[in-house]
Amino acid sequence: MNETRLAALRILAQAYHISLNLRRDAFRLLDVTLWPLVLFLSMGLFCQAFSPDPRAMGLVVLGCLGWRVIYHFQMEAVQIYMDNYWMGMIEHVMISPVRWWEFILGGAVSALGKILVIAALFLGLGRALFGVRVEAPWTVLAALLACAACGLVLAVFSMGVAFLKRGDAFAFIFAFPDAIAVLSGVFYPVTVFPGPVQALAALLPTTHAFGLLKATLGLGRPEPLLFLATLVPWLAGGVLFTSWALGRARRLGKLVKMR
Amino acid sequence: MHAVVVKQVTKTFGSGRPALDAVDLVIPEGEIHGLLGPNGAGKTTLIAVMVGLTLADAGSVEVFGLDVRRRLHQVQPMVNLVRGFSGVLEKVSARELLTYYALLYGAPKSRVDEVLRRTGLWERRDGEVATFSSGWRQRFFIAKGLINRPRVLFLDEPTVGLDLDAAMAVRELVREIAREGCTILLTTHYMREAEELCGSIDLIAGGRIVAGGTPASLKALVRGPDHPDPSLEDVFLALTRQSLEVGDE
Repeated sequence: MNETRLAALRILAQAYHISLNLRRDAFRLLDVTLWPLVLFLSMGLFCQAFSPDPRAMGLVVLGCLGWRVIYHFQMEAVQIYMDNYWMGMIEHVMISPVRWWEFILGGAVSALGKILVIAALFLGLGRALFGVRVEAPWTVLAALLACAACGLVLAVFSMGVAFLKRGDAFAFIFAFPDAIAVLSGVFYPVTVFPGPVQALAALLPTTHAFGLLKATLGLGRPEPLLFLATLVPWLAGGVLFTSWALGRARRLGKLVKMR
Repeated sequence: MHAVVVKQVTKTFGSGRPALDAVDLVIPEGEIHGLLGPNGAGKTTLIAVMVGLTLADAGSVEVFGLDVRRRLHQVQPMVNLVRGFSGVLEKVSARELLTYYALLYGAPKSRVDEVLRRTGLWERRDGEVATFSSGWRQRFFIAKGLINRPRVLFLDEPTVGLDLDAAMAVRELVREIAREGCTILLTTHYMREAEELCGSIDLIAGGRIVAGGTPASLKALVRGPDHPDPSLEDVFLALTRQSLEVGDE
């Protein structure tokens, strides 16, 4: 069997692991049902009550969706690693030929499945409850793919943190995508921030991915080149960091739950 | 050919004393090799270094001539690990969990059924591993250890906490696996188990290999007026205590 096929199977293994977890733990299903609905309905109803601008309601629907895309593409990969760690199985996984980026791509497969469910919920409810229609589906899809790419970059960094901090990484991993989304102007322009924060936000690919989403509603101009110009360095930095972190974790004996 | 060659491996965690101190060890191909030592002697750390889970500070490990540090990705498909007290995902069946491990190694689906039969787990294939008794759970981990047809299987205290019947069953499985040509490194606290299974043994204490050889040659080391007919336990106690006393000085 060639290496490409073996890598594909290891990626599939990670997606399979998540499916086992989803089935064994009903709480995980809330990730694609209750939690996104709480965000969506609270934001949507707030907007319906106070804002007559239909673009604001559109931004709630697309912003919630973009945020969840980033969250799932980041979270799934790290979740597989952390689950194996907590269950005392981590050495049985890390002794295998699995590579760190295969966790991330396996997580992406799972994230894609979850996002399809969430997108159906948000777009369906957005239309039924708030009268929001997606006018340019392909442009919206492209912007959501940009959000997914941002989620993957955050996943790369998060894997490195998980290798180094193990169980203690969890708080960071959960907070990371949400903090980034808020800082990137998920429902508002980043001009609401003070100058230094705006400068920081401009360096985040997530800011420009949300910008692409906003542009589909006529809120600002799309800046795909700016998006790529920020994404590529973040990705390169993440790859360097996580490769280093894995080597360091191996040196410190952190890939085993035994000493 | 030697299955595993460890040369001058040293490992220190933090600023404490070395967990492994210039360890040399050779595991001949096709043999069950014992690694015995008191708690904290460095057995598990040495295994982690041999399989590439932990990097040594100095020294080298070769598995079938491949350097573990430089060619880890080629070594990984050749080795596997079975430990006492490993955890499992709850509410997941033996077959499902083995399918996960099989995918990690690119093993075909038929291999899952093969190892389930091989370890006597076939009738329990759809049972939740987390609900298995410790004996059946250990069989599951042996099945997991065999999923990639390893050339070297590392068994870290595989019978710890098992009742007599379960431990005997695991030992019989270990013998069968070795008969099929798999090289095995076994750590255990049970001297009789080591004597029964191992063709050669290394004793480790305080991170150092203090003696090595066949069970008979190890006994010869301590035979004397105090121990006219020493057991492996006598050997273990005499050599590991002696070594730790020297180390403390």
